[in-house]
Amino acid sequence: MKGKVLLLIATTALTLLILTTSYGYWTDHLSIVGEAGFEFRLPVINDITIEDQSHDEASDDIERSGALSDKTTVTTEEDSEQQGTIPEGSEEQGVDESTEFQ
Amino acid sequence: MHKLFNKTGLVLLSVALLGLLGTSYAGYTGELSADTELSTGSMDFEFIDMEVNEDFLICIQKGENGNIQDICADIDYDGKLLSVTDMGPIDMSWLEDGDLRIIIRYAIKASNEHSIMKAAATGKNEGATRYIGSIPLERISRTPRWYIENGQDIWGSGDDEIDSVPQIVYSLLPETLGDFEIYQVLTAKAEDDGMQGIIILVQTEVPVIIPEGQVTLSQFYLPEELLQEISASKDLVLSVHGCYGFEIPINLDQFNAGGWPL
Repeated sequence: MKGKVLLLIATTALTLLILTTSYGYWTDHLSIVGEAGFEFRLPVINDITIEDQSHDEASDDIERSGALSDKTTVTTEEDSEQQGTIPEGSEEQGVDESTEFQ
Repeated sequence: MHKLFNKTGLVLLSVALLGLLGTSYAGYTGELSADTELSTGSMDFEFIDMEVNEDFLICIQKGENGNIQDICADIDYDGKLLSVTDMGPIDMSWLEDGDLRIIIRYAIKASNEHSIMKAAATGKNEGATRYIGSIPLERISRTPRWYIENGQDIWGSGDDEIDSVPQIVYSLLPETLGDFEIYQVLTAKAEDDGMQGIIILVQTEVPVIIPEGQVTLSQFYLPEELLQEISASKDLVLSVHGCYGFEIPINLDQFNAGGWPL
């Protein structure tokens, strides 16, 4: 019985020793804690005033885009015609050039 | 054989084991005097209050040879902890080149005269720059301040009509400003029982820079009346102020047992 009490006391003392040493070790460190403020500036696009005008502009854009689409069709046709001729010429030129090199 | 484990035997065995432990430690650290140095223990230092010591300084520098610019800050002492708050503000353009240096000069004092005498005597490495480690500068939860201005009027943080910080402000502020390497220089000052330390935070990476012209007024979702008032102005500029935190452990190992690795 006496031995058990001594063992309990010794164990308690050892635990306390470890705890106090650990606490002392961790709290003994100096440290610096900081909060740094950083700022930036950016231009803000005022899209609120533009909003009303932009509606009209948008409808204009739609009309323009419609007109452009017609033009585009024509252009495409022209292009297709040109594409039909130009590549032949280019091929011929290419052949000629290669022939010259040869 | 049985008598070896009686009380006397155990005591002798314990002493022998402790001796072996000490020898092993000394052999491992390569210093035969290690047991003597360990017995001296560590010294007790505290930060010196700024009202007494005027050596405290916080400044920023672009590159190692750039001009140094002082910045304002609030300082608070709590024995082992030095809190530096409200530093700056520092313009984020300082971060663009990836060579920003934040310098913090502080002073500490040993709790007893013996400690500082030992510090001065041990100062074989004093004045040398020591690398402590790398820390990130991360955005803290403190509410950011923001303002929209046109050169004459200012709207934003503090206005009664605005309940909360617009989400766009949070999304514009980077979560982190990248990693900073920390270097420390310590010098013993025997004349006033104190030591001066310099902490240098060196920027190691460039944070994501916000592209210009991507912010529109409608993204702030402000109250209608305020929006109409602001939208009547031209040349609107947004300024955002965010807080970034860090914690730096001060290493005084060179003045304690074991010393610095040479």
